[in-house]
Amino acid sequence: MEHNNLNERARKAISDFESIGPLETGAEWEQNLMAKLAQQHRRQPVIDRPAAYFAAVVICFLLLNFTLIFEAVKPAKPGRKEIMKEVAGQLLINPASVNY
Amino acid sequence: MTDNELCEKLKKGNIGAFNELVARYKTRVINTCYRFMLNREDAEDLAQEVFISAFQSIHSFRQDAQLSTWIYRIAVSKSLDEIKKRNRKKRISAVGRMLKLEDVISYLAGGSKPDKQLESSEKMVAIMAALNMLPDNQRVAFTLSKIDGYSNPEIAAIMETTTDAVESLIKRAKQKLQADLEQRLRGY
Repeated sequence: MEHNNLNERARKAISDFESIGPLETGAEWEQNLMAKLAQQHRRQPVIDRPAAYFAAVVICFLLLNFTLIFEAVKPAKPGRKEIMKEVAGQLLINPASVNY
Repeated sequence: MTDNELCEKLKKGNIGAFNELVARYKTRVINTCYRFMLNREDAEDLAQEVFISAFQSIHSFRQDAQLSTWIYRIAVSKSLDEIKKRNRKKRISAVGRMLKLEDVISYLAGGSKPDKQLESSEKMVAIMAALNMLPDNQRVAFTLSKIDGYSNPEIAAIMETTTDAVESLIKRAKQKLQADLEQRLRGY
């Protein structure tokens, strides 16, 4: 008896779900849709992505090249050996610099 | 204008064609979303997403299926995604409730509830819970079969399966729903 009752209520629940009426929309929904579409369109990047990646790689390559060229052209600093030689030469040539 | 002509114009980004697409399919798309979401506002928002997504990805449509089938498939997959997202939120908010994180809960409870009118019915609450327990394919087949105009072959095309499989899915969904509802209604 109880099972039959439950069975009937479950059947009724399914039929209630089946009878949900169709939705109708107005012009406002379409206006919102067009506004959303326009918004999405604006959000799209203007720059072509592959082109942007390519440009970034080229810029990095050029920067690296400039750094290397700059390093090659820059006058080399005197090494420790050269400084010692120079000091020693000065000491020998100029006796006045010798501290008695 | 045939669907093929419409499709060609859409691929060229023609807004007039987009309006035509919306006019042709909006009722069924909105009602499909409504059957899954059971909330008018959610269904309307989701339907807008469906059309925007269709317009943006029209280039990926190979025209080996009907345009309508393709759009309804987007509507179904978006609805299922949204349901999954909400179920995930519910799980997280349950954890938040346990930890008494009221702010977290209120933030996560952004997922709206079913329409008041539907919610008022005890049976509707039970059926929504029971529907949530169905596997996706059974839920889709059963839900689509309850929307006017979807024939079993059309559901099969949307689900990319056979008509026999759809019939079997609907039958199993009904049996499962009936059994689950009997259990749930015992509590009411």
